[in-house]
Amino acid sequence: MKDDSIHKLDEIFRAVFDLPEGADVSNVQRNGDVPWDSLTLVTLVAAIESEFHCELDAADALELVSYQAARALLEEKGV
Amino acid sequence: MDFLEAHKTVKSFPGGESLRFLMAMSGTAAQLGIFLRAAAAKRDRSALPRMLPFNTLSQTLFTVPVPGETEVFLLLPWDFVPEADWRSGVPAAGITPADARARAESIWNQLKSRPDARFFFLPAPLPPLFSDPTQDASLARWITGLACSIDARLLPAEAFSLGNYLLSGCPVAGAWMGHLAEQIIGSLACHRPEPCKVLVTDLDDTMWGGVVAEEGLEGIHFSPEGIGYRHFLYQTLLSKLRREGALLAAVTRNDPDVALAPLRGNHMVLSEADFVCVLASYHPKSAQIGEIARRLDLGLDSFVFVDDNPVELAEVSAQLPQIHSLAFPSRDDALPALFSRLSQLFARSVLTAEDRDRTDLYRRRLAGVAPSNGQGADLTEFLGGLRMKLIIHDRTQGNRARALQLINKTNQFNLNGLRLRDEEIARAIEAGGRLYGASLEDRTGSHGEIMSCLLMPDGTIESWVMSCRVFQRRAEYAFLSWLGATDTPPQALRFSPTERNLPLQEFLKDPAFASTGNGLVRIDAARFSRTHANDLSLFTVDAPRAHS
Repeated sequence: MKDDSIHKLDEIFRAVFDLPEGADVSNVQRNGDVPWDSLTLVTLVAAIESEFHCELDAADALELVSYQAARALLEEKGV
Repeated sequence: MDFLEAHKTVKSFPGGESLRFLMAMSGTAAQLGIFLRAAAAKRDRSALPRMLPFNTLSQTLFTVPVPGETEVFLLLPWDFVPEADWRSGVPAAGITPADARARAESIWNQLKSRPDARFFFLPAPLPPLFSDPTQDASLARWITGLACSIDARLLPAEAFSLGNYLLSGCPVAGAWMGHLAEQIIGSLACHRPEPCKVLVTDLDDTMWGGVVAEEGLEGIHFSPEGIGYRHFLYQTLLSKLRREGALLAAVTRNDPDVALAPLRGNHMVLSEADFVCVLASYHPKSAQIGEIARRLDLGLDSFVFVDDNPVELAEVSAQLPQIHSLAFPSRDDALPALFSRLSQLFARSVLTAEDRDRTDLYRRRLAGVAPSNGQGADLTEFLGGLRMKLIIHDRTQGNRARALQLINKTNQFNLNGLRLRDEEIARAIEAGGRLYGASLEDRTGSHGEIMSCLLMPDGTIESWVMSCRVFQRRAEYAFLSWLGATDTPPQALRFSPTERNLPLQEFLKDPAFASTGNGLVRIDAARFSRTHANDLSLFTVDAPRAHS
């Protein structure tokens, strides 16, 4: 993934999970320290679609369980 | 408006006058919330949308509107014909076309009775309802017609996402949420606004394809064929808007005679006579637009600015936030959205003879207007956000075709106007000279190779050119700062004023330069690098190892 895209994904996670600027998001995951519910997931999907101009379907959304998973998904989509 | 921009806008918004409204849709609207708040914040309003619980739109139509609350309906085909809802699956029990239309008309009657409501229609595809597919298509078109008859704004079909709708109940594709939110807030913040009065357009790569100062009249494209087609279409739209009373003006970073030449050639849809003024200079475009507004005695909120260059758009938006600044798109399939937006901004319900004659009247008011030398916006933050990368190539060896091309076609940022043959470059290199090229990339992509510089062993820069496509990005400052910090910093520049190199002449007014009077301008490279360290910091520089 290009540096610019990684930076965007980091910012998305900070925004969705209300983390401070510069916070390390590499370990953010569903069963971790951040509150992660169905509304968080759909917000994350909307944010990723909006920023990367891509479409995620239900199968993609199911894979979004962590920052690393999001990054892998976007790399798979050629972002 | 993308998610991160919306988030940043909302976070930094100190609050404003409340904008209360009902966001009525049968699907889930929660994900739209941040985009709605951001779109309102851009208008200094605090959006307070009331969202309906999922799938309760039809019940809402039986309730009385809440006093003081404007209603916004985002409608989908199944709001008219519930059997067409994807989430319910293809209906098991049959429905006839007549039944479907009866249901739709009933909903339509309820909708049109809502006072002062705003309607948006998302023409999502219908699942098959009838045994004859032509009946499905016919119903889809008929429902769209019903929506149009209540003045619903039609959204593009690609704004619908079945995936999102099935996943979360929100039918809007993530990539379209910002656009939809802006449309919704726009309809609320200024209902039936006054039409805009002045369209200020850029010229190069907007009115025509190409840069006239570099490619000449024969090298630009504006005909209905090939790469000129989009510019031809744009000109036909501007011509229509002018006939309907809009005033056209142009602002361009160019020499006046160069900028006007295509408009005087009578080969394009538009000519000089269609414009109330064409301001060509190297001063900020915001200053030019401000001067036009002052001379015409018109409010800036009645102005629309169209440019292909994001840096120019950022400068004008920052300095003149009241203006509607729109990007001339890089893709043909984005043209309809621009044309639709421009048509909305200049929409008039009645045309008068005065509308048609307005251009001549205002041309007289602007006769003799000269470009303003006012200051423009500080673009440091915007340029920093572009994440620019300057890639410096040592063209002393290998392919120097592009470097040579730049030297021989660039006029404006050109040290002395000298045209060089390849053999002359080769001789300079044999004598120890170095030929540099520089490419520019940013978060939007690559701008290609944009600069050439020929530096001789005695430290004299014999030739230095930069494409005008990247003016205002400070790339020339960054490059010279970088060069000044190498093992072989430049000592002087071989400068000669030409009719066209005014931008270079402005550049040389920097205190680090001192003319010797014999065509050489001495450079205090260390001073230049110190003074312009901030410009260099706007770039990641990727340079050949030996010269870093």
